[in-house]
Amino acid sequence: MTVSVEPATLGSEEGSVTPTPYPEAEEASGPGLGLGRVPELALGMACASLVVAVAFAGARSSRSWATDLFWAGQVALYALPAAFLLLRRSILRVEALGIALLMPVATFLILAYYSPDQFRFLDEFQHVQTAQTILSTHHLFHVNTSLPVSAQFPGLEIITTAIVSITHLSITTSGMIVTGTAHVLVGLCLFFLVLEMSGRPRVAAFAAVVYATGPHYQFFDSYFIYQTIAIPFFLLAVLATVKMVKATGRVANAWGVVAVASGAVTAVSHHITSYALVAVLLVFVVAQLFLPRSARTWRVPLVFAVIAAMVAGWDLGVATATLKYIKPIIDSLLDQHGVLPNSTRKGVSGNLPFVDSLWEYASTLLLVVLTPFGAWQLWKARRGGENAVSLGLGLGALSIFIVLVVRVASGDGGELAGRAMTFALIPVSFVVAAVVVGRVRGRSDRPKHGSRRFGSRGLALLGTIALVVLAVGGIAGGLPSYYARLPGPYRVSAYERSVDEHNLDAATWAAGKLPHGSGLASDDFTAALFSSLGYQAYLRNVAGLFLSLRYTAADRTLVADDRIMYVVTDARVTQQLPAAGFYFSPDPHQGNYKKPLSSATIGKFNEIPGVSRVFDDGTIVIYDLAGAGK
Amino acid sequence: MTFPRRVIAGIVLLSAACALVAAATSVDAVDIVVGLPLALFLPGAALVWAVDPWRRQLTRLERMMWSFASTIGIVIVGGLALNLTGGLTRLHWLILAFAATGLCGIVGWLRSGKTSEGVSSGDGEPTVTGTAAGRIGRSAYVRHVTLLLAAIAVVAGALVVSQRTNTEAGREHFVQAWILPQPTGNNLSTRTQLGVRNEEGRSQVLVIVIRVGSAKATTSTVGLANGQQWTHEVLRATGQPVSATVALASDPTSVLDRVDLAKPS
Repeated sequence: MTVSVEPATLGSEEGSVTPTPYPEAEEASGPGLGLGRVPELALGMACASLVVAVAFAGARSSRSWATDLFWAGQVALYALPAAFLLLRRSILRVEALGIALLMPVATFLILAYYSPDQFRFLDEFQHVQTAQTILSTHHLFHVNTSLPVSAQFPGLEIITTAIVSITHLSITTSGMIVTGTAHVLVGLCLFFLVLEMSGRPRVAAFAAVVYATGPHYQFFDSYFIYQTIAIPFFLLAVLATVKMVKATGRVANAWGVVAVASGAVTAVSHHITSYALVAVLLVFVVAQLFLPRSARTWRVPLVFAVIAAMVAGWDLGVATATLKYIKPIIDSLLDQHGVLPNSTRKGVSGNLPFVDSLWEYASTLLLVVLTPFGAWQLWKARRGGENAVSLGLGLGALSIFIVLVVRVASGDGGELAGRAMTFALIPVSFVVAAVVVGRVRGRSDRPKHGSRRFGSRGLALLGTIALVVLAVGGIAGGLPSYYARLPGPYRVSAYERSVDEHNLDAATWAAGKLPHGSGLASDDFTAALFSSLGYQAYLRNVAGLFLSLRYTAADRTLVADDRIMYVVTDARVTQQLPAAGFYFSPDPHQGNYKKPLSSATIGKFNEIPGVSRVFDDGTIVIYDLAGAGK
Repeated sequence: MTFPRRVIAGIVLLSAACALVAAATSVDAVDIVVGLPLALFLPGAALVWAVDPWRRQLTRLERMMWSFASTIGIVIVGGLALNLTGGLTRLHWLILAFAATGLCGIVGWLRSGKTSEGVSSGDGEPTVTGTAAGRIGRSAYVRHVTLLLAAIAVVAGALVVSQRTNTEAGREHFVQAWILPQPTGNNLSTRTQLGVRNEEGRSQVLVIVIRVGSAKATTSTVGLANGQQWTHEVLRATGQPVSATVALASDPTSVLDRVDLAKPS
């Protein structure tokens, strides 16, 4: 039987970082189908995902045990591969790869269990509109009434509409196939990236599991949004750069071309991801300066320059709405209102319960403690055959501290930090995996596959617990927020829980019956749906129109100035408090609502002379303000 | 024929078959079966074999990963190109997918003509020094297959549970009603469209009461299947108000929806 004997590398006693070749033959090792213990792992993780599915089913019928079962399933899902990787004395390469494959598959299944037949996150519908437009016009770059910049980064929509066109599947199904494929590619890319740098399948697989603990990994990074398709190409560009650095001559040139091609797809797919790629490549260029002259290559700065030029060219020449889109994000980053202590408990969307905050901070603390160790090991190894990418990722891992600063000091810290973690966790997962595996397994791998003699059991257990803490903290602080973590009946202002047949059907009706691009005022979540699926223009700063009990002169001025054609009311805002703390965007009473809105706030539109009640489904009503006069 | 050439020929032929079947058929199930490999795998697989026909750079599983990723990349870049040419139509997608596969296949064919140095077997197929095929124990084989099938069954069960509970819990029961001047936006129009759509989850008989101006209300009784809609043109004098209410025939006093077109002020 052929066995993968892993050499000790980063984080081992000697702390060397020596890429080790891994022979093809190892892929076919192990008993049975040559899959080692992958079938057992697959069954175990499938069972863990089934537990989560049952929890979701319970939550849909408001069972009290659903939350506990959800956490049990999630803990099992992460503990199983972590324990396997840390407790096993020897690991087959195929087993490590199996874990890197199973982790994204299992987590994507959880997303599918949450909502098997329908997109749930509001941003997804913005990209649905772009896809619908491509399908109806057969061309790109048409106006998107909801997210103009979406149409200028059409990577996701191109591949989705290609599948829709060829297979006749729906946009939802095609989108899920595309995002699922992208999600799995991310896990595999990260595995091969870390494997290329560390030479240890165990470290590579553990890095994939650590990355899967990210706050946005399970849901946001798998949603039908443009970032989802860009992340794998970001990773492919980095992977190709590693291979380029390690190769010479024509092979290195070829990998350089692959890196540039992957960068090109990233550039046309998502702005932030392409900026992150340029930043990472810049770090590689800088990292080269700390390496011996013999370890440097001119190809790294060349790849950086070409990709940076492509990104700049696309954003300035084609995606001209990018700057306008990015500016509020930068403003939010610099918003001083977020400085401690008000923002410390604010999660991705809204204030977190105390326990969730505790888990989130524990996981962040773990990363903050472990990362410097790994970065230090890489720094020490820079003169011992290290390459620019390994050292660059080691340095890049320190970005966790930047994320931490953003998290506690920025006005919108929770959301921005969550988004940033998607990128910061790539190098962080590498160094954390190397540290944990190095400490737990050291150089003690034995060439005896299937051995039941576990070494370092205590440390392995500790490592598994640490991984579970990372996972629980990531889920607690990520999306969906605590109020929508489990599916269930409609809730006002609760993101994934605020999409149901009422507003979906009403928005679809608006797309077919109302003139596209009409100014529309409503609560934030209803307006977002009407803007994306309904092709209406989402007008912000309209809270005053809904908070007054009577239609005042100020309201009349607001309607005239903002060219509000239609007002959409959802009766549920008068029955429920907003889960996220706000009804409108922006909302002057955000976080301070003690009771739902008065029914008079939405009922007043029935009394305004000249206003027509053009749509009613018993819950959602659409008013046409055109006849109300100025 | 060398091993890479056999594989490349297989990929190109499969791609041609998929494209032809997709172009010739209009059966959804067939389109899915032949369309997904075309859109997600085959062009990239041909590219990978063109770039690395002798499998020197990538392991088997890496090739799979790059095949999927390359296909997505080819489709995205191809989509940008189609946008500048004939548009992103179904026929163009089929042509693009097959052309990309064929082009890569030709390059791969040319590059894999001679047996590569360092590949020992006579037909160019790399030697696998592992022990998988030869030493697979029958019981271990059965165990692996059983476990994998069990995992698939568990996932399938979880999906069924999710689908069923999601459908049951998410089902809303309501009736949509609308009234719009024709054309929409012209509030002084004399033609209006009244519409009703049944989303009650089953067939319903609806009572629709329409009032134009101060005239006596007229009542219509309409039977609609779930998801079915009914529209009716209502005429009025310029600017005359029109209103309508909708109720279930089984409970006509309980109004579900109320819509109206007001007199412009």
